[in-house]
Formats: sequence, structure tokens, C-alpha cells
Amino acid sequence: MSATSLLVPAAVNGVELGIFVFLFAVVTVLGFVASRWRRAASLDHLDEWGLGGRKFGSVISWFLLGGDLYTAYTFVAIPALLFSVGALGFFALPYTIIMFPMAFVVAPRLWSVAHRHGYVTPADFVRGRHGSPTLALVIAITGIVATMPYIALQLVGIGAVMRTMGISGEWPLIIAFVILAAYTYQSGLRAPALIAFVKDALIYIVVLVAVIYIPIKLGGFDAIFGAADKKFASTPETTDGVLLGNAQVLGFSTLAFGSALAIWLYPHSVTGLLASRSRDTIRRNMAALPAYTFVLGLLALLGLMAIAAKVTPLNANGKPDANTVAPLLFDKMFPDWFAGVAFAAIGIGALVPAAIMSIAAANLFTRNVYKEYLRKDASPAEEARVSRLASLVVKAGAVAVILALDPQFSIDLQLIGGVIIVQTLPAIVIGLYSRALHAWGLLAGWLAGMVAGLYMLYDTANATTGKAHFGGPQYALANFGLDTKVTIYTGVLALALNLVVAFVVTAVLRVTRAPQLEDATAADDYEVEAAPAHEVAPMPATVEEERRTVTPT
Amino acid sequence: MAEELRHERFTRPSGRERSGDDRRGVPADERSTGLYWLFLVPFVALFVPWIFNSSSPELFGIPFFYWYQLAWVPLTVCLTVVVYRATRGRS
Repeated sequence: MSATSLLVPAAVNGVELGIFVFLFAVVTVLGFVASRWRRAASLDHLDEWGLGGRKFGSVISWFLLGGDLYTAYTFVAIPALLFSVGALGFFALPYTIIMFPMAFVVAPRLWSVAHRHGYVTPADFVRGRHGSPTLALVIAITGIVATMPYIALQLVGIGAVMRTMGISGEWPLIIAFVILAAYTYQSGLRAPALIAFVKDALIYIVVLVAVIYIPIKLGGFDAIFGAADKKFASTPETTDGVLLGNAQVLGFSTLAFGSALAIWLYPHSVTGLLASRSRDTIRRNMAALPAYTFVLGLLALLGLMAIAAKVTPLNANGKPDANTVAPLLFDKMFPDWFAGVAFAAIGIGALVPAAIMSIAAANLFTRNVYKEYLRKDASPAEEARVSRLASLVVKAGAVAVILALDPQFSIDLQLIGGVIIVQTLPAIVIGLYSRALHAWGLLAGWLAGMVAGLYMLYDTANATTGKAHFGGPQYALANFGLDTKVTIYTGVLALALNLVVAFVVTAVLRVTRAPQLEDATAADDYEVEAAPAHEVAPMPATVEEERRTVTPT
Repeated sequence: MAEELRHERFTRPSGRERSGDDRRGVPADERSTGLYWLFLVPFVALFVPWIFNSSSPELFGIPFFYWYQLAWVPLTVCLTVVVYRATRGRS
């Protein structure tokens, strides 16, 4: 860090920064107060610290899951993608539409089995269902590895906002993350659940204002799409445009489909689901959560508006950083005070998922590494203590990754994260329905999917950015000797191989009469609802009310 | 009462045991789950981009490609609500 970056440069906008700092302070207070919210007798149990007591109702779950799934990085990266390549970036919409019907069908089964058996992490379920601690460890490590760069990318989101406000240097990011680490340690999942209310309210206000106000200022959507079309036509690349090129169509839909498969396999998504009070809460929320998808779709269009508004991205490490286009557009179009609100929305939008992700990664470490391999007799209080400490380590790691390495490295890792987390699908999703696949077959499939996925990513160059490896999530079918320009999402290809290997190895194991591993779950565990008896009726407020409730009708 | 509940929560078996001795929860009250197949409709509508990869007809200056996909947000919500209500049990 250079000495000058410790000083606030002259170009800082005081109004924007003031509002940003104020809203940031508000959520910091909320984060600490959250430990008293719907307070349990103590937080000395992983269910309390790591899952908020497993009793969030529909409304809180809606905010929590919304805050969890739609991250700050999404809010800057999706407009950035539309700014750079156009239509292909809109894959985020079919992806975030279809993920909810998928979860409507599958997620209640996971909630039920976790409710009955007290599972906290996806790897807990794999351990119980497939009877293999090794498979559970592999699933846990995959989850942690996929989550770490995702946390780091939340810093990229805050960093984009900071640079737009004229603040350079890394110290604001460090301060933000130290505060975040402190209240997550203190309050656990209750902190992001409470802060999510503020985050989502701000996001909705900003986006609604933006999609009405900015197009009016730019002369309507006609002018916006016209400007975008002109820009894409003027570039030499054929992969950009207001519509998809013929060779891109399959890549677009497989990327959307693969991303929808991946999102619910991330540990932080599972944490958000399992914190729900009931199976019905999850089912309802799958109808209510797409409200965020609509907002995301409108937000994505900001990338095209930035083209029409002639926004030039700021440079980072000597290269233009498209992640700054959405903040720059706000800066250019809005009065200072409202730009400050918009920046705070993105900044706070980074804190909620970062908190949930670090909790989820910490729970995986505690349950599937520490308790399984290091201290088998760890008490619930010890689990909670280990998890709280692990959450600090996870965040420190994420900050170190961002500071020590090129942010591009995190973006590469995030790309890899999506491809590798999909490799846990057979063990988790197929496992929720059947034991057709043997744990060893699942392990073999996972290994094949991981190796193939990583190789294909390594083998992908990107002409636009000049990168020879890890150039993007699309693998050209020409690599298989086909005479075509068509590309397919790498994660889907690797998953296909994973499934084939898992089924073949399972078939071989059946023929060779390999030992059946124990299944700790029963068929009806997957269709369990929370018992009403667990809900304690509130004390009657008045004598009349008591008389009414006690008197039989 | 509250103390009893707390005790129950905190002494819950870790899931290592067979489920026979752990009967947390009651059977879920859901029916007609065959209706889940209806979700194939948005699947097909959104994952076959050949049908919507065009700029006309425009809506308020927005090309078809964009507003068609945005329109599927409320459509999918309606479908999910219908399926939710139809599959929910009596209670």
C-alpha cells in the first residue's frame, strides 16, 4: 500500500461519502444489536449462531435469501457484462427465474431431512445419506473452496464503489471487513438477516428510481438500445451485440441452466434455506423471491444505459475495469445525495452475502472437518465457538486474497467456483431422491468432473482480454474436433462427465458386490414438516384474550 | 415449558444415529405433486433462446429479447403460486 493511498484525495465527493458512511454506520449498529433480536437463551449452539435458531419465518427468510443470493458483485458484474458484451450478459435473467421452480421442487426435501436429523451443512446430509465421511469431506472442501473467492469478490464490489467516490487504496475495504467480521462473530446469522432489511429496501429504491429516471434523461429505451447497437457493431469482436450471435445461443442457455443448478449448491444458499422455520416457508418463498429477479433484470439494463450515457470505466491495474460502470452511471446521472444512497446500497449489499458465506464456510469446517476428524466428541457449545473463530479466519483469508493477489485472480477463482460447486450435484440433489449412486461412484464422478472442468477452464483463451487461460466459462466444441463455433458452459459439460462416471462406477461396484454403506435417513424423512407443538403460543396479552383462547368454542 | 423445549433442541441427536429414535417433525401435508411438471413450461420458454432471439416486436423501445425474458418473471411467479396452492394440503 503506498503512502498516498492513506490520504483522502481531493476528488472525493463529500456528500456521497457522508451518506455512504452514515448508512454504513446504521447497519453496523444493527449488526451488533442483532445478537439480541429474537434472542435465544444463548448463542452457544451452532443452530443459534450458524442458523439463527432455525426459526426465520416467510418475511425474514425472504429478505435473508434475497440478500444472500443477489450479491453486490452481481449488482456490479451483471451490468458490467452487458456493458461489455451485450445480450450474453442477460443470461442472469433466465438463470434467476428458473432457479426458483427448481428449488420449489427440491429444496423442501433438503429442509425436511435436515430438520429431522439436525443437519447444518450440505455435507452433513451427504455424510448421513451416503454413509461416507470421505465423500462428506470432499463435498465440504469443495464448498469452502468455491465460497472463498465469492467472499473476496464482495470486496471487489465495495472497491468499485469506493473508487467511483474517489477513494483509492485498500484501507476502507479492510475497515469494512473488520467491522463485518466483528458483528458476524458476535451475532451470527441474525446479523445479516437484520441488515438484509436495510440492504434490500435501499436496492429496491435505487433500482426503481434508476430505471425510470435514467431512461428519461437518456431519451428513452429506443436511444439506449440504439447506442448499444452502434457500439457493439463498431467493435471487431463477433461475440458482442444487442442480440445473441448464432454460435452463442447454446452457450447462453447452458450458462443460465448451469448457473441455476450451481446457485443452490453453494453452502451459503443452503444456510439460508435451513434457517427457515418450516418447509412451507421455503415453498412460499420460491414464489416471492423472483421479485428480486425482476430488479436484477432491470439492473442489468443499466449496463446498456451506461453505453448510451457514454460512461468510460475507471482503470484498475492499467486496464479498464467494467465493474465500475454501474457506480459511474449513478455518479453521472443522480444528484450527489442519491448517488450516495446508491453506493451505500451496493456496499451494504456486499456485507450481507459476505457474512452468510463466511458463516456457511465456517459451519462446513466445524461440522465436517473439525468434528468429524479432529474432535469427535465436540459439544454443541464447542462447535459454536469453533465456527465463530473459523468465520474470522475465512474473512481474513478473503481480504488477504484480494490484497495479495490481482483481483482478476479472484474473478478467475469465482469462475472456477461455479464449475466445481456443480460437481456436488449428484451427491446432494440425486441423493435427495435416491441411493442409486454408491458413495464411491459419487467420489469417482466428482473427481472426473473436477479434473475435466478445471482442464477445460485452463484450456479456454479469451481474445478480448488477451488471456491465454481461464478466459471464460464457455468451452468451444471445436476442441472436441467438431467443425463449429458453438460454445457450451463448462460446468454443464463437466457435470455430464461426472454423472456418466458416477453411474458407470456404481454399476461396476454393484457387479463386484462392493459393501453397501449405511444410510442414516429413511424415506419419510424427506417429507417432514415442522411440528406445530414446537411453536410456543404467545402469552395472552389481556384477560379477555386469555378467556377467549382458553374457553372451548 | 420453554426450558423443556430448549433441552429438546440442544440434546437432539447429531444425525449419526438411525432415524428410528428421532421423530422430529410431522409428515408434510402436500398433494398432487404431479403438478410440478408444469414447471417445464418456463424451462422450455427460457432455455430455447432461438424462439426469442430477435429485436421485434419492441415494447417501449425495448427489443423482444429483453422484454420477453422480463415478462417470464411475473408469469413464473403466477405459475408457482398456482402450483403452491394446488399442492398444499388442507391445513
